[in-house]
Amino acid sequence: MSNLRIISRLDIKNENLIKGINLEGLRKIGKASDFANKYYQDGIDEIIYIDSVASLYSRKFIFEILEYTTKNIFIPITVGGGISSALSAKEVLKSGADKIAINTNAVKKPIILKEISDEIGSQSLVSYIEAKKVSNDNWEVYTNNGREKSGKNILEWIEEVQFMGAGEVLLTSVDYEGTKKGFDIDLINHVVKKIKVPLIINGGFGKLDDFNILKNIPSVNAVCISTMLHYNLLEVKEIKNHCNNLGLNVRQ
Amino acid sequence: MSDNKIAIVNYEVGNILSIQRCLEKINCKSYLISNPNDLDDFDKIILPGVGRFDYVMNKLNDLGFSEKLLKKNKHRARILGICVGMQVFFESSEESIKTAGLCFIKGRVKKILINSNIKAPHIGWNKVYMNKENSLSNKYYYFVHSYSAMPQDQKIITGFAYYGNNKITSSIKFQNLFGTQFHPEKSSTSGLDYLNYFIKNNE
Repeated sequence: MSNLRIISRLDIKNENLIKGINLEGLRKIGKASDFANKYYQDGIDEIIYIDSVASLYSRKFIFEILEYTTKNIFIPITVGGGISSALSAKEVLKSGADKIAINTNAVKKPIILKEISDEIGSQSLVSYIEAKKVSNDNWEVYTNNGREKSGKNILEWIEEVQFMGAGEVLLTSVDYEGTKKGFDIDLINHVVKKIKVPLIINGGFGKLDDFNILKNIPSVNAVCISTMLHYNLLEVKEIKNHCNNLGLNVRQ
Repeated sequence: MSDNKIAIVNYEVGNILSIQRCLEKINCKSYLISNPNDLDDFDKIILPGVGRFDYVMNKLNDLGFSEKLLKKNKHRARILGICVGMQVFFESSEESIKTAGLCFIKGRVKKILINSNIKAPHIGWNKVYMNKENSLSNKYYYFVHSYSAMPQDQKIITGFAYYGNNKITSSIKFQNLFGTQFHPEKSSTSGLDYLNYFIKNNE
């Protein structure tokens, strides 16, 4: 199998890094670029910026953050939030991002995924999916940072985004996000067979041993972490050492 | 010609800004070249590549870069192809069988073998084993691709990586031509080291 990627997710409001629980109750933690730089120095494999206000206000700050990032951080950068067309996707790539992540606007208008992947290629298009459990063996797709129901079934949506050209899936468990109670293994097992492209899981990581179960789920390609890093509860190195000890190969 | 002056072929694909920033970091002056004739002033050229083989080739052909690169290659300008930028050095690709490559090197580009755990595209960091250049070997580099180059002459392969059952051609060197399947501009310090090696190489 391929090496497991350890990704840090930074939710951005203006120039600041913010973090909440279950994607709600957002708190300011500090300057986003300072955090990004620290994680880069510590050996993080990728960075994902989610601009939480881009769709509401302006995109000025994310471009400032990208400007800093491209000068100092030489690893893959993904940007999500407020991307609504192939044009805006291209604009973000031109400013130094390698991939764009898209959720709400794709749910509203799935064809946008096809338009974007035709223009920039699947390899640069991440389908960001927020899933919330509705009943046994049934998860619903949410949008707008876990605030709105979409009525879409998770498995059908995963098929659709892949058909439309998504090159990766970033799967966030709304139920587990920010709770530190471990990965949402039920959700991951529920979707894993449907996912043909690389899968990034997000939400719930709270202690090193949470990684142990990933030994049994080789089709998880990357883990996206926020709380544990942002609150300095664990270092990138500790996470990577633990993975290597488990036999989960990571970049050292 | 100044040693540290590099042309980046700008045909409006990919994250060219990242390559420029990397070169800045290692004290190299880079120029985005949109007009093929401007390549005349350079003896070091980077050909970036993201996207489909045919898309890249069509762009290079339409903008007049293919013809110019052919000349630059004949005059032994040092050219680094990155990802699809390297793949187009070869004759053809399974990704777009009707489109010929630049044909600088004999060989073709094939789809990587996948199964339920080995997915395409191959995205992520992989250890690259290089045959010389020891300081660059056994380091991790960042890959994003679904196709891999198969040179007819295996001796031009300078580095490879394993991905499932695939032995990925990760770097090549053929006379004045350099190529990487990985993205040095996204490969942290090992990528910067590779770019430095490309610039300083004085064989």
